[in-house]
Amino acid sequence: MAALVRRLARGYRLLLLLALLGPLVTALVLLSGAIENSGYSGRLYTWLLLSSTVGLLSLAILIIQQLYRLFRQYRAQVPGARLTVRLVIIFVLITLSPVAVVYYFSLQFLQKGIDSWFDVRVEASLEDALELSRSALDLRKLEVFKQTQRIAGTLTPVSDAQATLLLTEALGNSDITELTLFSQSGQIIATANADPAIMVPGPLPEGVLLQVLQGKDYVGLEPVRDSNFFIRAVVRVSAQETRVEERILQALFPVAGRFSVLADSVQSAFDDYKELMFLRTPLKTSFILTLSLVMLFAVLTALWVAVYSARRLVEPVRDLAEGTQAVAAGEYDKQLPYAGNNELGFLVDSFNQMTRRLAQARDSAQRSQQLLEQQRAYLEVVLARLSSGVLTLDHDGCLRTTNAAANQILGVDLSALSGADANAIQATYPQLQPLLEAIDPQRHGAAGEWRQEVTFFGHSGRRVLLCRGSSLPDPVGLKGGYVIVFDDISTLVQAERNAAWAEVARRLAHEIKNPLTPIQLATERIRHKYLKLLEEEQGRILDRGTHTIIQQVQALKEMVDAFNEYARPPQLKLGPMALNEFITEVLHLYRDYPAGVEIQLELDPRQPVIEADKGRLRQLVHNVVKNALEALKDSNSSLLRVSTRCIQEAETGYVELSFQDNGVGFPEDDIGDIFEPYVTTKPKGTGLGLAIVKKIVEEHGGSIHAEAPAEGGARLVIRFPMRSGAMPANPITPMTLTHAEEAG
Amino acid sequence: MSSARPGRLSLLIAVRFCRKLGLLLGLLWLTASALAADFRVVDAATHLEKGVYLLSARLKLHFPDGPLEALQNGVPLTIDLDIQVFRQREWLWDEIAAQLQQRFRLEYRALPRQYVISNVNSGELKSFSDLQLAIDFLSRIERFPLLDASLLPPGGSYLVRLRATLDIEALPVPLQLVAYLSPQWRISSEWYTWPL
Repeated sequence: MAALVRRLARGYRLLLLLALLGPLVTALVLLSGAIENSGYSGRLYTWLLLSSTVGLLSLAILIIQQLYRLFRQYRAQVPGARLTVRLVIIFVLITLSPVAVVYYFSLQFLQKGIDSWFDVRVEASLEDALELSRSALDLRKLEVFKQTQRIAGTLTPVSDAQATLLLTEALGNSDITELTLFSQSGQIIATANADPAIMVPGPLPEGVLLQVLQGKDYVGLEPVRDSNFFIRAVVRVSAQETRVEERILQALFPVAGRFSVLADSVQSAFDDYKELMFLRTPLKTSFILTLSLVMLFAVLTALWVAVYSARRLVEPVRDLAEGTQAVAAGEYDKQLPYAGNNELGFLVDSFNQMTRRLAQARDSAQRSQQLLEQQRAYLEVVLARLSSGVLTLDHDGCLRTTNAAANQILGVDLSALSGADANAIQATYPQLQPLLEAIDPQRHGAAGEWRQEVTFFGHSGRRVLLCRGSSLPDPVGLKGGYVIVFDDISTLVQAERNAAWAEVARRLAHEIKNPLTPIQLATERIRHKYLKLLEEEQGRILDRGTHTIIQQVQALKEMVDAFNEYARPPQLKLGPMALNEFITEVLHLYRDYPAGVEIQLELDPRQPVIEADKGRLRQLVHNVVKNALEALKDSNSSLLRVSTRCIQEAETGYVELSFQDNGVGFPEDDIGDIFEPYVTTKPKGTGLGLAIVKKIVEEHGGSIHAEAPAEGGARLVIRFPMRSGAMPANPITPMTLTHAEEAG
Repeated sequence: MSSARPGRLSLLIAVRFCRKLGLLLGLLWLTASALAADFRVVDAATHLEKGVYLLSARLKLHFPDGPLEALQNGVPLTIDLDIQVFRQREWLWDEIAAQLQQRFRLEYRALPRQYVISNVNSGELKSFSDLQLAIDFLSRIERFPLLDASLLPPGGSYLVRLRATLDIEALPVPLQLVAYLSPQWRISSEWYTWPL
């Protein structure tokens, strides 16, 4: 559209210039013709000059406008302007130099040519010719004068009435054209004319009459029409008896034909020469002016042609420059206008082809990128919908991608850690250490798939993950990275265990508890029936035996009850519980424990609160404390330290409850299995105490582990998830409060 | 109804001022310097005789040195007498009822040493041995038949005006440019107006 407007505007300007050029050329041609003749075009000279000047001025204004526009474009560094200016300068130099030379020599030629028309000798000879003509005419005039005087002499004695006859006679004897007798007042008295058609003679000129009246006779050469002369001779006719006053005789003589022609030729030549001499300077000025106008016309036209052709020439180049800039700026749809059937046109065509190809390439690249995005989005959606957590690592072990399920299972936001390696992840989320430790050796191990169970302690307590890993093939783009898929199988494991132990409890109840009561009843019956029959010695044996049986049966019953207790499905009544108060209250019961065991309390002043079932937790504490006291029974200066602590790891907050004694400690080999049922280090125990403890902890979503402190003894660490929102904002260093509870 | 001759001093100043303005103000200068008339209509009158209006006028024709020099060198000078007859109208502009132009050519002939005045319209020639006599002849217009009274619609009042001008365009072409640019050459009288 813009190109079309530009073309139209240019066409309009071109038309305007051509419309100006036509009349201007005509005016200049007429002008040069006008100077040579003084006919019709001579009368138009000034107007031609004026209109040519105005036309040239308009042309100049148009061209100056163009040049100014060009200059502005040059200043604004419009593409192509520099080249246009350079071309214009070259064109102008090429045209102006010959024009200037021609103009200079024309001027010289004009000056010298016009000067050479005039020559002193020519002028002198013309003057001489004129003088010669005058002398000849003077002779003729003298002759005529004498002849007239003679006629006047003959008229003197004649009366006015007879004069006409005499005049006619005199006319017949000579070459006189007309003879007239005037009175002193100028009235015609008698006349005779060679041409019989002319009845009335010409009047006597006033000046001549005056001169004659003053007494001076007149003879003079007078023009008839443009080229002929006649001689007028006027003389007095003296008065005498027949007349009172003087008369005046006028005779008109023709100048002989050939003589007249010659005289006229001499006169016109002289007049022309004189006129030319006089007009020499204005003539030169006019010629120079006309020449200058023509020169100016040539220069202006050349200038215009220079600007026009430079523009035309540079236009495709400018378009190309603009097009290149547009392409560099990423505008690949740029198409240039047709530039003719030449090399530039070929270049423009090639450019258009190139931009078309570029645009196609860009479009296809965009399409494939879109496709890629779609696929990626699809993959992400699929990953997000997976219930399994997915992590990918590159070959350096840096995290590449995670899905929403991974974040949810792990309770952390790994997507923010994209690109971080294992150390960085561990620094941010220390709770992920077990997972990372499980993955790390697999990375360095043999390629192939692997699976492993990993237990870690997250925001929602202890979690068991089933991890499956595999190294990725190279072409995927991760340079041999790894993908790890994991599922949270905590609930599954829990359920399996519960089912297993419920089965054990059922069998125990069925297989063991049922025969116990008959055994007890039978024993009591034997004792009741035979104790009084036996002698003292024998009776004592029986008494002791039955007593032992009854006692053991009772113990077995208790054991079965304990199993029942363990296998019973949890029916938790969860509620907020201040752990410190609870611990203090429960341990108060052990204040009067007979053995010399000191119980120390180190409670977190931040008053940790957890969600727990009070009864179950009480059972947990009793089990643990009883266990510890049993372990401490034989040692001296026994110490049981019970502490609570709030811990914040990454975004997960939990409460740690630990029991540490300075007893014999756990056997090192079994430290991993002490929470399994039937594992006991004590000579007297069901082996279910710690199993039940672990069960209760797990019911509360907590974790438990045993440690062997460096100073000796045993340490049980229980962690409960902190009740949401119960963690103080600024953890302060826990103060340790010691409650020394001395037995007795 | 006579025209007042403008003050010479102010004219001179005007001419000098305009000269300084140069070529661009040439047009303005042209009008202003046209006032520097060396021609003047002293008086003019018409009278009706046998149904024809006859014009008599006295002019004052003074030629500056430039035109005189040209005349001596054989350049003919053409003097135009423009005569216009107006019918006065009450509400509208005046209507030109008739106009005519008399052209006289004054030239010097070297051979007889005479000044010749020719009436371009009629071709009539008059020769004078003295320039002043020739100018005097031109300055006097007597009983010049202007127009037939019958050509004018009766009733209504008429005005006549007369002007004498040196015709520059009749000059030889090279001289025209000089004549247009020089105030010496642009000689014209003011319009002299009188009732018919």
